[in-house]
Amino acid sequence: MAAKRKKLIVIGIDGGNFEVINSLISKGLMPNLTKLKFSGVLSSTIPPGTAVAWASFSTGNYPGKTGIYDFTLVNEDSWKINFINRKKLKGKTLWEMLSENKIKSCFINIPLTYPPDKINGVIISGIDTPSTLNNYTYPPELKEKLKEFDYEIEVGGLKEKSDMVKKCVELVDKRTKVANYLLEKDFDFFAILFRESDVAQHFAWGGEEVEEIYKKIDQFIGKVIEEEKNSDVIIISDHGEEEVKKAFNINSWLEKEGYLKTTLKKKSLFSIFGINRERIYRILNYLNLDFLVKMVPRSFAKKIPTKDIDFEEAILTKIVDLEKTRAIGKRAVKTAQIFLNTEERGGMVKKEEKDSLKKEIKEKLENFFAKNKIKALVQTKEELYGGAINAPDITLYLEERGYDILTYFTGRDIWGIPREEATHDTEGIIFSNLSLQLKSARIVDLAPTILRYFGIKEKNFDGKSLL
Amino acid sequence: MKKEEKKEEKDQEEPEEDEEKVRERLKELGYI
Repeated sequence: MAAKRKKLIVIGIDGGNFEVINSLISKGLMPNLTKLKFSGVLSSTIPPGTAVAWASFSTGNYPGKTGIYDFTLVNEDSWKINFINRKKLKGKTLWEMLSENKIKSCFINIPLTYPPDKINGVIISGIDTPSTLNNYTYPPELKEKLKEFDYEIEVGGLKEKSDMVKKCVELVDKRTKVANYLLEKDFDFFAILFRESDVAQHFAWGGEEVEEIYKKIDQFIGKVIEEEKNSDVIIISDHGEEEVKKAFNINSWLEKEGYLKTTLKKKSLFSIFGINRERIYRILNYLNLDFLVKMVPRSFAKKIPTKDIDFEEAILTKIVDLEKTRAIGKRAVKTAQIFLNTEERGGMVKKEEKDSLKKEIKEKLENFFAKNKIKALVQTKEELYGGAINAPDITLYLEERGYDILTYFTGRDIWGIPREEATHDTEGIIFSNLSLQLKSARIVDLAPTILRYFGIKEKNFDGKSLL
Repeated sequence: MKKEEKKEEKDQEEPEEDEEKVRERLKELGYI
């Protein structure tokens, strides 16, 4: 049998963090990861969101240049909200740069790869793929082969969080089988992301399934080290993760400070009779008629209030009074993204007022958190993202461990209970057999590192090579 | 915004049913 080609293999553990990993290592449950001599913290992006961070991994640039600030994008000149995918990612990607330099590569499940580009190699698109019915692979015929593995993109279609967590364990196996199949092919560069660690941690922090997922990923790392002896390996996470106990409700704060007004007192017929989407769903579910939900046109569904509405719904359903509102908060992980209701968006904040309003809100938030002795970083669009188009006007990142953000519009208290057991933070992980300079490694440093590994001249990145 | 940029944005828009599938997934995962 011919010797396998030397590869560089990057394995992504979504939300991989030292709190969980060190605990598993101390119990002897991640023996293969410890075989990699070099390790350190890998700083993520702000916000430390999965899509935001992988956009920076794939381009070597921070969000001001990638144009990715969350899973959704709020337009600069309207309140229109779009979902992000490959088409929204700005700048040249790692797969394009490798392909141009005749490096044959394979990317499995990396976010912002849908629709897949035509490259010298293989792409299996990630979380931004609508479904496996879409053309989510390059080359397209690979999609047929993946059916043999019963390949799935993400967990979904399950009512209970506990079922979703169990399904995550199953998905690690499916993804590993596909990875093993593709590792047999002749690639120079290979990257795979296990998203399941993050999903399970959100819903079941400290649960046995989380441990099971890390153990399975470690077994895959062990197989790679054993069978790809010629190759080099880098294990990374896109962000860290921490348990959260308390949450700051940005929209309650904005309302209290007079920046946001809601129309909640003007009751609709639905709310007078106590009808909301959650209640309708529970009744239909009880009657085994929940399939009817999918048949309701979205235009009608939007008119039915929901208990905890999101940013887009609050604007579309006019729960936010746009005639009297100057700023609205949107949730990202541990981060509140504040958007001004500007003239360009049809709102009341005039162009010449924008800078002073940003400064005013920023200072008030800084004072609020200083008074409450909570570490928080508040930055304007110009400070954090160089004033880039579509970026949030103000970003609040809660550096204090244990705190998350809420964006409820339902007149709640400023402090509340987080929606999930754990959320992302900026302290990711990196392990490698390569002697990388890991003293202050950042996710933007990966693309320049990978390019230098292959002798490709890297230039004009926010990141720098760790080699 | 320039006309070309508007056109580019239009070209980047996904079919509504695809956006809906992504929305549903992100909602289930608690990301939006």
